[in-house]
Parts: sequence; structure tokens; C-alpha cells
Amino acid sequence: MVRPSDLSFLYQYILGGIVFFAGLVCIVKSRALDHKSNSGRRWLLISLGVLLFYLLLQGLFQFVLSKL
Amino acid sequence: MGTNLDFAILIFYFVGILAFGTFFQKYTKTTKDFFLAGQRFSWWLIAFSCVATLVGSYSFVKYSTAAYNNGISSTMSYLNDWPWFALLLFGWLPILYFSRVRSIPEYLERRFDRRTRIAATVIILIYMVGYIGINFFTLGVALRPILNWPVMHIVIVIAVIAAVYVTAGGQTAVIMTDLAQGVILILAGLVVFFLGIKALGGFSAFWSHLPQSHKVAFAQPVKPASFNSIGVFWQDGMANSAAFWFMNQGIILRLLSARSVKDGRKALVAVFLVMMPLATLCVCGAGWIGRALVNAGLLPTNVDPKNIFVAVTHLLAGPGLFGLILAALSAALMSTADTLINATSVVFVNDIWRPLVKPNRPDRYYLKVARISSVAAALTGVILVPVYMGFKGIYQAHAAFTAAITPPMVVTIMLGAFWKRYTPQGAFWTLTGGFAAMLVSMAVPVIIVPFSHGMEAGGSYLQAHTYMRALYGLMVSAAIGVSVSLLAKRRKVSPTLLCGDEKRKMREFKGAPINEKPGARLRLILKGSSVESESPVAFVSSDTLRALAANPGDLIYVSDTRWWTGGLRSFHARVALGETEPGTVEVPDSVMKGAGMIHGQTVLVEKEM
Repeated sequence: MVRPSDLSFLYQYILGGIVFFAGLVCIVKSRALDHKSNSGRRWLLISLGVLLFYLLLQGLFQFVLSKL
Repeated sequence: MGTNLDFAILIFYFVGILAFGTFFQKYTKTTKDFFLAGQRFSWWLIAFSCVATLVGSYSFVKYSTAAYNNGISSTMSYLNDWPWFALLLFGWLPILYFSRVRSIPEYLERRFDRRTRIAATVIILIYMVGYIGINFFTLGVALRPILNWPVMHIVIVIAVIAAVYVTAGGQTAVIMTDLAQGVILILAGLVVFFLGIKALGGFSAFWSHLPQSHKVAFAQPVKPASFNSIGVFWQDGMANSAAFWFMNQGIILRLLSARSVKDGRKALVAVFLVMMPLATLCVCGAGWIGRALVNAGLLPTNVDPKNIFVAVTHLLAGPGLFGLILAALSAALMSTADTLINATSVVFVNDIWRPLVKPNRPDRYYLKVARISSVAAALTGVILVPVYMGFKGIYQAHAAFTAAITPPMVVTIMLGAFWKRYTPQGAFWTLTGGFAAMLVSMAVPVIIVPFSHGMEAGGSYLQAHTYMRALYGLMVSAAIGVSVSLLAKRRKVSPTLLCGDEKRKMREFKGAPINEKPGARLRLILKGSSVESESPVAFVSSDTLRALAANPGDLIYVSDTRWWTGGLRSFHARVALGETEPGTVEVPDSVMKGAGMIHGQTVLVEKEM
């Protein structure tokens, strides 16, 4: 069953994700980050890792631990 | 409340911080040292010192209350900064670092015009000086039950301590004391949390004593009006988080004190992945534990949520430990106050005194003014305390002012950094028009309703739609900025001031082509020379130059070999070919002494760009 707070999770990650990815596209298109270099690719991965970290951390509490 | 041991620990903390902060006076010889700590610190030091800034003055009380009332969802405010991560690391940080700006108003003048700078300076100074006073007042009220002194006496003692070490050591003292205060904060937060877990009989028992509704990471979308996830997302995640990372003068100075953009980025990664979750646990932990203790029958059910932090720590911590926790509470306030005092002096010197009152004076003159203005900022904060004591709604008034200035400032900075077409007219009207629109929304809150997502107002005037006022402010400010800019004539903008090609920014920063050839990191013997130059120059032999893969004129970084000094003993210089012995690096005596180094010591030398 979907709880109201589950919708909050979706709301934050959809809208926050739009801001995050719009930012990422903006910096890659403006060449603020050179995604063709090794260092640029590493930083891109780190950025996605940060997003994934929060997604998993909050997802863990929202969908797993809250049901224990 | 509290024993003599607690009292002694608190006194030891204040004396220790004063002595520790003042020690760094010897590293402050120029305004660059005073404002930006010489741009020499390692990422881990910056990251740690950021904890004390992340944990604001009333975070412990505010978030433990929210945690007691709402459970794990109280973490929303701390864990919703990630949408800004990429724009901050790759867009904003290089702009700040490579354009050599020292304050937001300075950026606004270079990007737009002087009137935008003046408008921003006035807004920021009112905000910061008012906030210093609130910090002093809050700390005075918090420590009164322990010390049994009148609030004003406590405030004066605290103000003198903060003013002395900030005036002496500038940003270096702020960073180093915040490093110590960050450690105390984390230690105290973790101690309270783990003592609580132990008292409850383990993590499973703690978890089972939390109500089911307190275990979710998010609150309900729009209900209640006082705490809901959509409101927190817009007010905290979008407006306040952007303000914290993009316009908070304290954070900007902290990031600019990193030895390089790369170290600034590493510091931010550590902050987002480690420090933020840790800070969240520290400020919310007492509230979660408090709720579980009440449900387990270990705390009375009628405990006041606003006092839950003190109630929990008093129950769990024995003599001595309670003193440490009070020291942590003081650290949260002191670290905010010292950051604000330093930031106020930066804005005053950089945006008022230097450009408008006494331009073209030697650097040592501005350093003197910076020191005097630090004292003046602390003094003004003290003078404001009696005013605040007679004004019951001071916290609400300050929150309302912050809410009114945040969206227009955030929109101005964001559009300025990321939209080339944004014009000076657009920026000025975003600031003034956006601020006016926010004031109107406080008088006529009904105009926020179209943005409210169906949320109840939750109060009248200032108290109405407190969350969704942020969304309204962001939208109205952006609409003003975009429409005025599109109607105005295009203007050429320096690429350094816009998000864009980083290599170009580096080239302009260096004033010559950048050298990206990988070179070795060498251990060399440092030698001082009496030859002085306008900017620091380091002479090395041709063999050393080759090993560094450097060309004359390249920027190098010279640091102490002990990693744990965190860059405190280090400096940047331009490398030059000299008649020096192989294995040595020769720099002017003043540079060597300014970095706290001595003739003949071994140093690490590496090429920066």
C-alpha cells in the first residue's frame, strides 16, 4: 500500500532530480566539466554517487526500516 | 543544573578556544590571510570545519524538538541539499575561486553593476549583524542556568572571546577553532545518541519504542501546515539550501580557503557524504532518543518538546559529560558567531571601505580596518542583545527577514552564474522587486495560495504559509529577473563570471597558459632569501623544474611534509629558474615566515597549474 509519505519521497526525488540533472547538463554543455577526460568522468561518477547515496539512505528508511 | 565539574569543563572549553584561536595570529599578515586564510588548506580540514557551520546556532534545540515530534523525517531539512551538488561543485566554486572575488556583493558588481552591489551589501550586512546579536543572545540564555550570571555578563564574555581570536587570527582562527568545535559537536552528539541506545537496551529496543509514524524518512506531503515534506522541500531544500551553499558568506570564505578548486571539491564531497549525515544524527539524535525514552517510561510523558535536548542529556549524562555536551551547545553558537564576525568584516572592508570610502591604500591598512571592523561587528552584536531581550518576537522577526531576502538573492546569484542573458537591470529588479514581493506576501498572505499545493495557511501575516512563501518568492523573483532581462539590451559578460570552460578560467587566473603535464611531488630543502618580490616566487634548479614538469611562471604549492598540518604551513608561489642547489627551493624570507616555516626544513613541492 502506498503511504502519503511515500509520495513525498517521489516528489522530492522527481523535482530534486530535475534540478540535479538540469545542473549536470548545464555544466557539461558549458564545458565547466570536461566529460571526455578521465578526471571529468570521475567527477561525473562521484556526482551520481552522491545522488545514489541519498536515494538509498532515505529509501532504506522510507521503504525498509520503517516497516520493521 | 550541572555540577562544579560541568562548570569547570565549560570554563576550560572557553579558555581553550580563546587560546587556540589567538595562536593563529602569526599566520595572518595580509587581507588574503585574514579573509581567505591564504587559500592554503587541505580538503579534510575544510570539511571538518564545515560541520560547525552546518550545525547552526539553535540547531540542537530546533532539530531535537522536530525529531521528538516527527521522528526520522526531521532529517529532511539536512538531507535535501543534494540537488545543488553539481551546480555548486562545477559551476559556482570555479567562478568564485578563479575570478578572485571575496564576497557576494563584489561578485554582483563585477557581474552586473554597482547599484546591485550596494543593494546586496545593505541586505547582507543587516542580516549578518542582526544574526551575530541573536547568537550572543541565544548563548547567553542557554548558559544562564549553568553559570547563574545575568545574560548580559555572559554575552560580554562570549563576545570578547570571539572578537579577540577572530581579530587576531582572521579566517585561519575561524577554521581552526571550528575544526575543534566540529569535533566537540560530533563527539557530544554521538555520545548522547549511543548513551540513549544503551539506556534503552540496544538499537532494536530503541527502534521498537519509536511510533510507526516516526520511522519514515519523509513527512506527509502537505499536512500538517507546521511540518510537511513539500513545504520543507521548497523552503529548505530549494531556497535555504541554495542560499547556504551559494550566498552564505561564511561558507564561501571557507571554500575559498582551500588550496585549490580540486581540494574545495573534495571537501564538499566529504561534507555531503559524511559530515551532513553525521551532523544530522548529532542534532536530531537527542529527539529520537527522547521519544523512545518517553515510550519506554524512562522520561515523563509531559516533557516539553522544546526542552527535550536538555532533558535527555541531563538524564543520560553524568557529571563531566553534561559539561561536555554544554560545551558542544556553546560550540554550535560560537562557531556561527565567529564565522559571522569574520564574514561581516569581509563585506565591510571589501564592499564598503575599500571601494567607496578609502580606495587604493596599502594592504596592511585594509588589514587594520578588517581587524577594527571585526571588533565593531562583535560590539554591535552585544549592543543589540538588550534590544532583543525586550522584543519577544525576535526569532520570528529574524526568520521573517531571512525568508524575505533569501529567494531574491538566490535567484539573482543563480541567474547571474548560469544565464548569460541575465542583465544588470534584471538583477537589480530581481533583488528589489523580489524583496518587495516578499514583504507584500507577509501583509497579504492570500497571494501565496496559488503556490500552496493546497496546504493550510497555518497562521496569519508573517506566520501564514511560511513554507510555501519560498516557492512564491522564487517564482516571482525569477519571473521579474527573466522578463526584465529579456526586455533590456544584451550586455557582454566576462566568461570568468559565468559557469563555463574551466580551463579558460584557470588560464585567466594564472595569467598565462596552464601546464597540465603530470609532474612529480618532490621533497626539497627550503631556503630563505632576503630578495623580496611583489608576488611570491620560488627559485629551483633546472633538474627540479624538470622533475616537477614545470615551466618558469607556473604556480606551485609548497607545504609541510606532515599531512596533519592540513596546509596550515604552506604557500603558493610562482616557480622560477634560479642558481640554487639541486634538491632545494629558495623563497623570500617573508613568504617562508608567513607560512610558519623555517630555513632548512624539508617541504613538499608540487605543481598546481
